[in-house]
Amino acid sequence: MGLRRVLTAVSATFVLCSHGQDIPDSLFETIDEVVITYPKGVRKLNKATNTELITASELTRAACCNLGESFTTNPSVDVNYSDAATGARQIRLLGLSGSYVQMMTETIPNFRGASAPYGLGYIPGPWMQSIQVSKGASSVKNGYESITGQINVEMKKPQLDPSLSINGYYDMMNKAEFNADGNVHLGRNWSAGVLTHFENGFTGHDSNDDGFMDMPRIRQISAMPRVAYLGTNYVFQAAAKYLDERRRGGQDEHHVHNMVAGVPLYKINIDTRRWEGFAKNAYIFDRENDGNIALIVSGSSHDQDASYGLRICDVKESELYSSLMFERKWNEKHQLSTGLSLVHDHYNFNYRLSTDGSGNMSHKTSNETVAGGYVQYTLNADEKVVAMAGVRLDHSSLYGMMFTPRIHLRYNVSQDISLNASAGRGYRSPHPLAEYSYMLASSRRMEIEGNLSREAAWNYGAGVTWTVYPAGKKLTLSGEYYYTDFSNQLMLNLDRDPHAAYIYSYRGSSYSHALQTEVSLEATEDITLTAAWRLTDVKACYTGDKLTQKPLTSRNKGLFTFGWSPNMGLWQTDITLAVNGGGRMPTPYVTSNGGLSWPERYKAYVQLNAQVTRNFRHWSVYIGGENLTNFRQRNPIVGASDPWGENFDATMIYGPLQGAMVYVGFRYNITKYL
Amino acid sequence: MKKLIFIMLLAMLPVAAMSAPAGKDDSSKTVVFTVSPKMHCNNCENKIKNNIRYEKGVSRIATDLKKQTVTVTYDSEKTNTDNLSKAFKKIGYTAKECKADVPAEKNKTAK
Repeated sequence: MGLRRVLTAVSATFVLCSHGQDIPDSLFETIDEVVITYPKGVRKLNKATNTELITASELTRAACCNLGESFTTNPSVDVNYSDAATGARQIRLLGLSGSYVQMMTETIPNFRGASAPYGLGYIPGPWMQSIQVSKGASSVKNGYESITGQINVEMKKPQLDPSLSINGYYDMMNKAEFNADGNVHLGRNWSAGVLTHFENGFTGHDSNDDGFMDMPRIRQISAMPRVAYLGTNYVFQAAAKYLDERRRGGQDEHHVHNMVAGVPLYKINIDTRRWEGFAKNAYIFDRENDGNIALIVSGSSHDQDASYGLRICDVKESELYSSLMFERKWNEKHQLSTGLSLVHDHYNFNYRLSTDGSGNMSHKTSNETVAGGYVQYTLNADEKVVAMAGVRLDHSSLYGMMFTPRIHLRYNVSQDISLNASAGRGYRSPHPLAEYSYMLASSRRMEIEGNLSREAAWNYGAGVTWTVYPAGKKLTLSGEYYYTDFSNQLMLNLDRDPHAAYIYSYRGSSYSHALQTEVSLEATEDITLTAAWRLTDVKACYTGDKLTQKPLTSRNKGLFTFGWSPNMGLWQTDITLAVNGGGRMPTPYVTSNGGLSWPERYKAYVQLNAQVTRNFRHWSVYIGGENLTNFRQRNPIVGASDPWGENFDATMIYGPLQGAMVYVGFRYNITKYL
Repeated sequence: MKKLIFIMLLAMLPVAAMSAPAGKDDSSKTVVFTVSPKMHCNNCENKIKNNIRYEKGVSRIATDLKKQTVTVTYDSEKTNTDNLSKAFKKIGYTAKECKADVPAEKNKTAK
């Protein structure tokens, strides 16, 4: 009986109340802290860091087929296509590219290097329990790699109440997705679950009639079995994941009108097989003070064969991550976290970068081992002042020592006003061929500097959140500013020569300013409105000595969302309007007919998304539309009529490639409540 | 293609409009429950809300973490407090009708 009570308390407190995240902190970011503002969906957490939580219910407001599509209703994060042929997408936080955001799954760094370009498509939407977006320096616990912030994805845990969920999706582009997951409890302590996914693009579409598919056809299969053991003093979790993906892009027989005998079609084929696995162990020696020692081990293997016309870039990447942590609290006021980590990365490239298929295959390998340690102290003075200071010291076998200090401060002036500030340093090892592989979807010469150095930057930020209640309605106003200053950056320069991509280490001035304001109103119990605006100023030296705007990066982003969920949420209607742009295009050249190869700038564009969901006890059905304003970038592929010529370039992308699209879907869930 | 999209969009509007809550009638009643085990966080609140909302006759649910109460507005011609208690049981909660002082304003806002 006593044991039963303990287990109930443990499961109630740690499983239910932390969105499926058990203690200890070293294994999972705790999120069961006082929630300050934000009505439904996205909530800001009362942590020292500036962290927003996107819950599973927020994710049902849009189709959210995968992680990359989960930010359509979030003003902080942008997801853009990298090029018009491979479907590679990159996340942008604070106006800087995704490589400066540390992506994590279950607080373990993931999707680094070769998996970065397509990683956003590797986590299906229905697998996700929640997403945490931390802006600014972030914790030192998970390594030195976060520069603009961290994005952590928590997936459905087997220790949740036993359930079975099925999801089906179909859209106008003839793409279908199917997800199924379930979990069972095996006795009192053990639980097991499996998450599965299948998607297939049955046909290619070419709406702008340039002979190229607007989006590659993707067939992806993935599965993730996992187990958990929740004991009184010992907690264990392990999971494995396998993913097999086939991408077919470029020209296809159906859409090319004037096929010339002897001239092959330009095709892009990318085949990926990826393994991931992790095991987390924690021994809890002092339950009252969250005292625990944890060991986390994870590994991945990424095997990708890619061809872009006659250019080839095959990469095998393996990664091993291990971390040993100690944590304890004193009087609920002081918390100390300290640990050691060891990370090993192995890359093996086989490539041929010539556009005409000439020359032999080149071979390159790289190995990097980084050993490090950290100490992090958190002060929580009656929820009034929350401060966190941490330092890391790491040694890389390739780049030497790295010292990473980071500090965060939150001051809750009153229940309605909260101020936060942060400063910190971050580093990254450069892997240009892995991260910029999508640049091969062009005839640009790849000019990669031989001896690249590691990237390093400082990030500073400050923000305020203020809640007022005019006429009894909850109105939340927030503003924040972030500044990122690079002391060493890996530059992708498309301006120096419009027929080349220069990749080199750059020590000159390079920075990003991002200013964001947000207003959120709970107009009635059923209606929520949000308006947000962000201004970014990202500059570096691309041509000559003058600082110029980073190309293909929008200066402004506006987001307006309207959510209406009447009848206790049995119905749910969501409308999102986003404004993006304008911005600078890389320096064009003059074509033989005297015109510019592409415009020097692009203008702002507006996109509208809408979705209606009807929830039943076990079922939900939804219908929605994406990009209903039907804005598409005109002629996204430069030189599409001659992909084997020197002017072909599919990487001049700033906007959407697909026009208006309607989708339908269903979700089924049956849960046995314990 | 554009036509199709507009038709789809137009189709969404009446669907959404139909979902407006129906007006209350005289059979509308409000009951305040205390539940055990206790509600600890938003997740517990959501678990209750997301399940009890499908009970026949229920038109509104409000949870209060501080007071540990769940206020349910229902149509007394369609259901009763016993049925509601049973619904709580199905999701692992014991719901007791709160006989303690219920502030009058609470009842008011629950309508």
